[in-house]
Amino acid sequence: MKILIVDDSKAMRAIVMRALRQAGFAGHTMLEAANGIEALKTIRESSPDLVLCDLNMPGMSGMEVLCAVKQEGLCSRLGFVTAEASADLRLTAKQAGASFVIEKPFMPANFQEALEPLIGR
Amino acid sequence: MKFSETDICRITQSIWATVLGLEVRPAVGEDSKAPASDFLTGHVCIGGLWEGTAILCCSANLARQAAAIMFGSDNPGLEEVRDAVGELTNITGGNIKSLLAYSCHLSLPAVSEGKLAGLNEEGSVLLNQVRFECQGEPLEVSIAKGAPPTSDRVDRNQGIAGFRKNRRRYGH
Repeated sequence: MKILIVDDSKAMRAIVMRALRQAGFAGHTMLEAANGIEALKTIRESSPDLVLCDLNMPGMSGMEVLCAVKQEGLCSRLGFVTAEASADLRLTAKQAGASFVIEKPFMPANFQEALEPLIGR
Repeated sequence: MKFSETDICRITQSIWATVLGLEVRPAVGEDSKAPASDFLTGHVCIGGLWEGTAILCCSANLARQAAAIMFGSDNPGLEEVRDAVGELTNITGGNIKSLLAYSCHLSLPAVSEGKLAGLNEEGSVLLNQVRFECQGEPLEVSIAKGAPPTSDRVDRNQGIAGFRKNRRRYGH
């Protein structure tokens, strides 16, 4: 399976990948994108099974990426990994079609809990 | 709106332990006498029904250690160090924002060299500041109400630009 990690911080992309490996998802192919526009291009071209997307990014936000994925009927499931996980935001994300919201800081167990129902291990 | 020292401690200790595996303790004794040039300051703006700034300031040595852990590298470059401080600031700001009862949004983080100097001309008010020690290095987390305070050297105020862009996006 292909997992796309989207964050404008290279440090955070590295941390997410490490957490995914520690959570037991090391066997999957990890792709990266540094912004929303790059993410949408990768989703169209590579059809990742799962997208882990930051919410607050310059240019195109994570929510805008999600909306574009839904509008274009792309098959990738998308969830957010964000520092801003208020109850309002979780509801908005869910209503927009996000598969999960993981709050920063996170532990590998947070990824297990969110991702195993979607893609197994 | 009050942000207690307890909340700031809890948030900061949780972030540094979870993200970096580092223990952070409240500092005892006098403030560091190291020159301002030995520090990096990150800030994020919180906007909406409450407007303020979350600021993280640490020694350059501690910033390099954080970057080394994040990137799994012995010798992180300057951009990696700034990225690490920016992301730690972002997570700190997001968690501080979660203490608010209001719906607010977060700017992109901005990182500058230097130490927090104080209030800017627009009269932001420092609400609370907690000093910590991590790996023998100084760390401060501050919350200000209003526009972000200045630091000694600000190369580019990406925080304000990002906040204004997001404010337009969210219709404020």
